[in-house]
Amino acid sequence: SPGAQASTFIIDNIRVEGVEDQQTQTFISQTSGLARGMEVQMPAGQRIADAIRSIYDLQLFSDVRIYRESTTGRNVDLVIEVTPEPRLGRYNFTGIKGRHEDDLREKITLLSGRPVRPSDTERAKQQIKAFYAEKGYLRTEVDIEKTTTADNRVNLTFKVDRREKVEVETIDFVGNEMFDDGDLRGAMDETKENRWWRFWKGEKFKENAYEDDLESVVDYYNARGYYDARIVSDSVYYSSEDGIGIRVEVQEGQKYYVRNIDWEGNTIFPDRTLTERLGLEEDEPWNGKRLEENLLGNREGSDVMGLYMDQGYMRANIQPTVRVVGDDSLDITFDVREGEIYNFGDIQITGNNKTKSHVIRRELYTVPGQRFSRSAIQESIRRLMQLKYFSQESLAAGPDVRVDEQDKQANLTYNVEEVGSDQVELSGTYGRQLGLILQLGFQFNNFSIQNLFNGDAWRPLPTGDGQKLGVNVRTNGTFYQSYSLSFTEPWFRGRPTPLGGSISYSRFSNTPSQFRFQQQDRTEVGDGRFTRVSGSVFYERRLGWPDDKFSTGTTLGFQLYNNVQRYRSSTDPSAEPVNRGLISSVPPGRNQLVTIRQSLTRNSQDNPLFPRSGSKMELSLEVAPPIGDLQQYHKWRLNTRWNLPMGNKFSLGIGTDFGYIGSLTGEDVGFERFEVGGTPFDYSGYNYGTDPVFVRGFPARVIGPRANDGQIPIGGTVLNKYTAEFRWKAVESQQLQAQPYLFADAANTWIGFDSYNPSELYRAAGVGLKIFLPIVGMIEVNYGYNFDSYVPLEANDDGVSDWTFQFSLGRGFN
Amino acid sequence: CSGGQRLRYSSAEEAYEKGMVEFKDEDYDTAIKFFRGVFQYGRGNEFAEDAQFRIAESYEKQRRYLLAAAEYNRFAKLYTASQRVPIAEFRRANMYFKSSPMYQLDQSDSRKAIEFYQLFIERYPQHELVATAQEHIVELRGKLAHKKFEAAELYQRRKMYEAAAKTYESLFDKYPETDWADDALYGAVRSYVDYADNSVRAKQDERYQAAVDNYERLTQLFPESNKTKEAQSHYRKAREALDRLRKEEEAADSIAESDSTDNR
Repeated sequence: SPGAQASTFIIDNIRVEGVEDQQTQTFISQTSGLARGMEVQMPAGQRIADAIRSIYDLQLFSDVRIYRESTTGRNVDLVIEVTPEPRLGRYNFTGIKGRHEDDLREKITLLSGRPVRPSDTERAKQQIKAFYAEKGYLRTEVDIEKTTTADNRVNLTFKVDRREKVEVETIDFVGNEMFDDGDLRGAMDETKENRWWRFWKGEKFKENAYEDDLESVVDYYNARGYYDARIVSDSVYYSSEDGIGIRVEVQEGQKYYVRNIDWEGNTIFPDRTLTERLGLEEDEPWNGKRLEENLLGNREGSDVMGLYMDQGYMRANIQPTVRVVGDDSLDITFDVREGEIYNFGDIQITGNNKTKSHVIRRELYTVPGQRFSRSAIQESIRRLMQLKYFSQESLAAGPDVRVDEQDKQANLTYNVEEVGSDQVELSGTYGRQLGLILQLGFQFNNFSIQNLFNGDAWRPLPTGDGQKLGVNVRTNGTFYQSYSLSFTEPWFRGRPTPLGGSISYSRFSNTPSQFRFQQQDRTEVGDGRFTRVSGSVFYERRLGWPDDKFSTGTTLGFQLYNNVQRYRSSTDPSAEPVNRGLISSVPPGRNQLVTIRQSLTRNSQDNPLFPRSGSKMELSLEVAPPIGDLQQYHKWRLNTRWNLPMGNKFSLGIGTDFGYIGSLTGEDVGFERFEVGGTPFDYSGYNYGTDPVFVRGFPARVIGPRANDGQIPIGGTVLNKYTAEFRWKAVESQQLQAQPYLFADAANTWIGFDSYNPSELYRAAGVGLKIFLPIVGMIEVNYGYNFDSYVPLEANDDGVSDWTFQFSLGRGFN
Repeated sequence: CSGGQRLRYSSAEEAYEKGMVEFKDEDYDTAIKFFRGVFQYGRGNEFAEDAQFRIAESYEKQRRYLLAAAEYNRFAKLYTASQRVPIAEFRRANMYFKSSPMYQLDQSDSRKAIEFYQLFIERYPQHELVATAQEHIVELRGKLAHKKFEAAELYQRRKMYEAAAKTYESLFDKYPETDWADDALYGAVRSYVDYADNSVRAKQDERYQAAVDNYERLTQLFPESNKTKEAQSHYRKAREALDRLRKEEEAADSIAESDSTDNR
């Protein structure tokens, strides 16, 4: 009875009704948590409620009741009454495409063997409809057919009728006078680019996108002074069997101008600083979109909140109040609550089950004890993205921030999700010299030499220390093979000081005649042979002095050449054959070099691949000491790049490159001479004992001194090169960066200072395009005109001034 | 289905028995299938409880620790009256203990293991496995401390002295009973001295003082540690700097008094 107080009883007996099976009854009684001798509150108490919930949670019963059967004094006999749900046997679909079935089964939450409640089947129906609505089938209908099997199970058949795909046929606007329908449709297009273009091109109608785009239309007005523009009504209607029309009625209102901007409550930054950041000026048309972006967050991070958020005021709050004054003016008042300064506290990293924490932590700009800064967080995320070890989604979500209000600390947890970062490359390139070259390359970007003997970290190679390991095999199938292995530890001993090395082995058993000495009166004896073994170790350090943009690099190298091709004199066949070498760029016979290179660099370029501002200067000296029978030389290089930004998108780049190779002993230097002309691609896999210098508008190696009546380029020892580029950074996104440019290059190399004439340069100019795709790397193409003619090396080239097309893959010219 | 054979059984008992045969043969995949078959005769049948426990054990044997943990958990939730509930709860913690990777990687599983071990100890303080649980907690906390120590060392190496000092200090505060406690205090002494050396004059005093405080803690708590000896030279440096600063201050104060201008 309603008036009855709940009173306490002791359970004497429990009986289960509704299922026959003895075991199930025991199970239900166990699950209830009720037992003989236990005290319960009746008619309703916590224990009874818990018991009912526990049994419900089994999801086996559609109804559960617990009631008193009989009461004797304080003793009570309970009955648990359950109504079993029918269980699902199988379910299937009719009327759908086979390939949709798996997708649907993933979406649908029905499980075989689980009870089927009406709500479950209804949800499945909605899931199917939503699945097809997403694909543009807005009028999908689903019928459910139930059959009961002998063992009391239910089989379901979802009869799906997708109907015709619905397309958007027309969008009309009503009430717009200031802007035409096209403008407003464009506004929809602009804000929801990736979803909205499908709206048109994919011709599908998506409800979510539509709602967003209606807001975009309002934003469009708001950004142009129409402060109180609004959508009066919108209707989506079927204009035909498979098409819909959209009709949007807008009320434009009046164009408003900003009259006063006031800041209140700001103590750290003056009004002027805040207003400047806001980018709205008094007497200018109202722009709601700009206000929102520049107040709370814009792409450049130059918004008002950024000012506070980067100085530790992470709880800063700014509320704008807009007041209409007169006919067409607005006063804006910003209420600033600055709050207190917060510091970064504990910085944790989770989710890294491959990559060691230190590899992640060293990229972070969020450091314990430092002031909270939004841009430090953003920069940290950018750096982690560049590692490519983690999914973009996991990083883009940003770190979890737990605020300790007492200590005014923001504790961050970066939660990363590991993805594969290793690259396997199988490629074929066609070179004029070697024909088709097949290349198989592996690049392991998260290698760990420390984990070499740790079996758990092998997946498939030891991973986790952020080191780079590259393996490369190239062959043209007949006479050319090359193997190389390289390793880099970008943070040697935990500091940003790269250490690395590489070894390589190349072998030719034959070579195109272009790379041999032309022997007028001699004939080859047998097959030639060329091998090169090389190895190098490098170490780079950043310097704190004169400023932190300076760095030094040291490289220790070793090279061994064996270059053999014997020729017999045709005039004196009885004479001993002479070795003239198989490849002309390297002296014949066996030669060895040990080199030590030391460089000093100052780099303030803003971007390593597409610099727009800053400069880079590098001075280097390489010495091959004359010890024993080692080859000797000393080599100087001075390389400069200057970048002048011109507005936001344009820049001017000017570069110079000077080089000199001299002898330490007075003997001739046969190695590492400058080969000038052509693109990096022209040289790929085919420069031995030389130092290629790329020049646009000219083929490889055509510039510089020659031997054998001008047929064989022998490389120079003095180098001058000048470049100028006018660049336009046209596309800058995660997926693609593209920069068209105009260029002018001039260069020459001389055999020595005797013949050096700095005004005697080979000049070219033209247009080019530099593209960076994350998977492929750098691609550069150009179309250039050489003002100076040259002596051609190829039969189909005449060397006169003309337009030439060139390209390079894998790396750019500079 | 392994060996292309269909799973055949006509009672819960038969499914369980066949599962046990496969379990003993170490074909855990098939064993799990049979054990799951037991549930087709209801979760309440007399073999269901054993089958649930065996499923968890099968995953454990396969070293699929997170799945095993989930199954042990399910056991404890479904068969609350069973005597094996404490064991299941212990093993659940143990699964996270086993899947906890080396300290340089994500330690979420270590934290979970600690949490579940503590729950276990709280619920069954008399259980014979409590000692093991405590040992494991010590080991895991050692790992977490080591991880924090590595972070502090990284900051120290990168000359981010404030971050290093704060991290060493928080390591000592959080894990004072671990082997890393003396290293942490030593690190705090060293990095506070470095931090003070690189600070503006006005801030040096308190930072050298922090180094001294940490040194005193170190000598009190770990008089025998060789870190205490290593810290001595840093401590001396901090003391000398403090003395010098105080003298300078006194000198400045006396000038200030005579000039009667505030010179701070």
